[in-house]
Amino acid sequence: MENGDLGKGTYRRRHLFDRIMTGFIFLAVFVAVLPLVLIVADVVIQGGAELSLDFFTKLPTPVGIAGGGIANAIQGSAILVGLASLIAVPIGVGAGIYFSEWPESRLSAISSFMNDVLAEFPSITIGIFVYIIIVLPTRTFSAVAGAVALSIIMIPIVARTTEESLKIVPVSLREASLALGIPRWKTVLRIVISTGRSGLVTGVLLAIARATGETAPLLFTAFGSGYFFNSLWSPIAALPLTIYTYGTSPYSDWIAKAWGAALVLVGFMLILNLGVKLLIGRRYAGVRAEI
Amino acid sequence: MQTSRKAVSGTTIALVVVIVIVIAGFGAYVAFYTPGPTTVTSVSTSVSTSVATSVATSVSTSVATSVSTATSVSTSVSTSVSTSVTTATSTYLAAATINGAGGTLVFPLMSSWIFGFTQVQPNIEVNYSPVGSGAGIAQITAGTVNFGESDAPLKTSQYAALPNGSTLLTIPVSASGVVPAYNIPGISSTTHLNFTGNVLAGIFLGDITAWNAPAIAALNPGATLPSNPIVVVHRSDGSGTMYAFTQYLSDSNATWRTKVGFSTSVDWPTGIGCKGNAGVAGCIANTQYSIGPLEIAYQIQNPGAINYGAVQNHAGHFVLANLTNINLAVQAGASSGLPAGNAQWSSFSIINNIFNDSMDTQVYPVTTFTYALVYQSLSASYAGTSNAQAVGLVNFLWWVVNSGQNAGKNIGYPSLPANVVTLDDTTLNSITYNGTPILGS
Amino acid sequence: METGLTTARKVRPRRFGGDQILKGLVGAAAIFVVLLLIALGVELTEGASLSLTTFGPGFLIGTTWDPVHEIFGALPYIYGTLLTSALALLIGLPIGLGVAIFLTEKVRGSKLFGYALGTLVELLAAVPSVIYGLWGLFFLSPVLKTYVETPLHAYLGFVPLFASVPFGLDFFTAGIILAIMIIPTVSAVSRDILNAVPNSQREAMYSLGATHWEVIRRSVLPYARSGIFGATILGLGRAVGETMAVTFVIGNTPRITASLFSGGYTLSAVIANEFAEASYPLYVSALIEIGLILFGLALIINLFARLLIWRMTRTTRFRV
Repeated sequence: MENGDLGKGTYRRRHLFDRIMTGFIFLAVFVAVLPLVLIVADVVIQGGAELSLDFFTKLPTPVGIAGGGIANAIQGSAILVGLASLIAVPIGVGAGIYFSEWPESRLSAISSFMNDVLAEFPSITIGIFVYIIIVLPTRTFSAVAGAVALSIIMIPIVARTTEESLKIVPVSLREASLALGIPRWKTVLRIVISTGRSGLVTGVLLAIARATGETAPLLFTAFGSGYFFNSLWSPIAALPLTIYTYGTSPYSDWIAKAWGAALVLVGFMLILNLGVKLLIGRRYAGVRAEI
Repeated sequence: MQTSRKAVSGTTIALVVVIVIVIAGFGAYVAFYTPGPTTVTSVSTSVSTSVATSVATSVSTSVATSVSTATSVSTSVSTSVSTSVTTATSTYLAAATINGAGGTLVFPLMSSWIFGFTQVQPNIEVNYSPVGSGAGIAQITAGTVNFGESDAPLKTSQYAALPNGSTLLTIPVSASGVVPAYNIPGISSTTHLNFTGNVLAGIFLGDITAWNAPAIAALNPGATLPSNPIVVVHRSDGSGTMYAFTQYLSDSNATWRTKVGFSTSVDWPTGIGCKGNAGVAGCIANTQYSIGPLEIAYQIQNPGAINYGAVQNHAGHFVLANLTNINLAVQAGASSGLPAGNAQWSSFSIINNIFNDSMDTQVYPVTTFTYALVYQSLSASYAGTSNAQAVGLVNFLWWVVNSGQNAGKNIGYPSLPANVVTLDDTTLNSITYNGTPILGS
Repeated sequence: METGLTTARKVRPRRFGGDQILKGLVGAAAIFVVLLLIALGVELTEGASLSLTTFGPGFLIGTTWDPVHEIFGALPYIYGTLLTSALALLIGLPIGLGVAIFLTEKVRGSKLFGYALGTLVELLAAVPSVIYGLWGLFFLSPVLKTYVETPLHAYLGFVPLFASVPFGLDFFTAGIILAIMIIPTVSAVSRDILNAVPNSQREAMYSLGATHWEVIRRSVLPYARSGIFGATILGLGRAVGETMAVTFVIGNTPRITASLFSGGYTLSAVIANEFAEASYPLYVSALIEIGLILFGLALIINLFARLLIWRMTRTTRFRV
């Protein structure tokens, strides 16, 4: 902390500055909330009319034929994201733990740096990469390829947020635990992670949200399908693909379905968010680490 | 407390774990991956029914081929299919899943086709992914899909990249047209401006910059054109629509031909790029005094929202595009001669054919075919195609060409003229599986 | 849990115990990340080799991208990516941080309100990128053009930043859309970081008579510096790598100009637009080389950022 700055200036001037900054913060919140409200409202308004039991249970129909739904896309997205999380969460959390608990090792520095670089990869390049290493050798588009592509996108998010959440857990907590004779691995797993779990969960949720909404990596891997899930090694439908192909078509009923699918996607994320946070319990909305 | 032995370092364990995971993963991959996406069980259940009927005795042999892990084909195909799989729908074909990839232009029509075909053959599942014409060609070349689809025929270099000894068939399945859409406040939707290829080239080259330029005014004596600058809108992504449009401009204007050329993606001299037909339509709607090339289906689906102009054909008439005159154009273009299905279509240009055909006064000049791409000799060595898949694929395409052409009328697609259908039928009849024609001649 | 106080046990360093297993497992995860990056780099270089040998370093400074005549140059795209990412960070980072500060510092009484607002902002992260693109094209772009760009151009057109005639599809709109897209990431991560700052820090500042903002600025934010840097990296990652949404609103014209209201193009956008239609090997290779350039760009940016952080925080990583 810099020296002596607090004493400078009259109290009134500092108070005024404080008021101004508070104003800026409120402005920031307003600016952030405005597009949020507009986009979500747009999705709700344009997509809401599409919601029906058929929409959730039927397969898609071609243009001009009423009925039809996105059941296969919902199922496909759930499978893809579930598989991707199965891959990405252990690896991401593991890497994050390593970065935070053993920061002095060279592997940690290199890997953490690489992780940041991975975070900045365009999703379409990752899709092309998975296409080359999985789709071409197996000569088929597949759910596995799609899940792998999504997991590559998820890993850096999970790893980075895990690292930061664990790093900010005070050293004194670790030292106290070790001093009591708790082995280091138990300290990390039980105490450090438990203290930082809200950040961890946020990271995983963010990664899942990102993966659920990505279109480009699925184009060359999961391929899309008009049918329900068949096998892991065949093409599979996904919500973003449906939104992309329907939303950019000239047909109003398809465009409406695209917005409906977007609403389903956002709604699903909301439920996931709420559900997870309810399970994890406290530590949200202002509960602080008390030391 | 001293120990005489060093503790095993964490790094060592890490490396061991990584190696174990890699080996385990590889082992799992080898163990679980089954070549060929068809399900074996469904094929075997259909054997009992198909053996009894005269339909496709070759299906019974496919059980043996798909169960074996080797890609070699069992020679029991000797019971050759003398009784062919006709398009008679009294008996259902064996279950199969067929994957195709290609252009976005035909995607809405394709989904109608798949839907219609499934009514006739419920066991056949067809997936189509609109990833783009170039990607469609790339996928069929790599063997990751059973059929490709493209708005532009293969170039010579793409034919050269095909697997050795294979022949890729080019099968026109539908057509479309490109219209010059614009947004000019003050010009009502009932007035349709006239354009020639030369004038359009001038606009898209950036040489003609104002709406009331003499070149445009000369073509539209009755309209009051504003003096505002023209905002050019074009596609940012590659597309068959742009292939046709730029080909038309190349044929009309020598400067465009040398400076820009034609392709699915070109280096546009001016203007803003908008993604997809939807993007172009949106950009035009949001930008006053703009003009851009739009696929006809878009205009048909949104009649009030998009104004578009008439284009001059070689006979000198200004033709306002609709399904009828696009149909006429396809007919005219086809009657000048189409290559055989198994020939190379690199130098074929329906636009050129239409261009050179000065007989018809009502043809719409900016028209394009869209093609299905299938290998002539199907076997397990190409994309691991099983017999059931091959049969399903050929029947699907047959249905598309012969019975499915009406599906497009309500959604903005013309239907193939009779001479093209005949050509396609000949081509489809030539497709073989393991040397045996799938459709009897 | 052994307390070690009542039982006099001899604790020997284990040769092969839980500690080593944990370190091994998580170390394996870290190694995996490195291997993944190496594999990506290898595949990209392999795919781009044709283009690398054909164009050499000229690819990086070439300004023509002509698929028909087989001339490719990436400079306009590099410029576009840098410009839009900088814009996105410039706008999105303060706003995201502001939301996080608001949620952790200002919303003390009503936990439900903070909870609801926080969840709502995180929901923005779930909106698919295609929807952002469509919304941007049909709603944001005309609004910005009418209410922001046209007046700015009319009154301040002499400033190079506002010199082009605005059409709404330009660097400016793309930057704003990207900023909106990174706000949820930045805010969610920052909020957890700020929440984890111990109260003792704040109490110490208050006891010295600081105003609320001074507490935030001088004790909370510096403590959370590393975490906020992490949030920045993730936000930057989203901005640089975003493919779909950008292509709808940026105008997709390769151009290098100081004006924010001119159409532009980014590295990710050109791959997204043209990869599916790339019809010959050199074309495909050029597009993969663009992916390689993005790789290199990310390496350089992160290197700089790490050096900066290392300079700034030459203290132990752990805090008391």
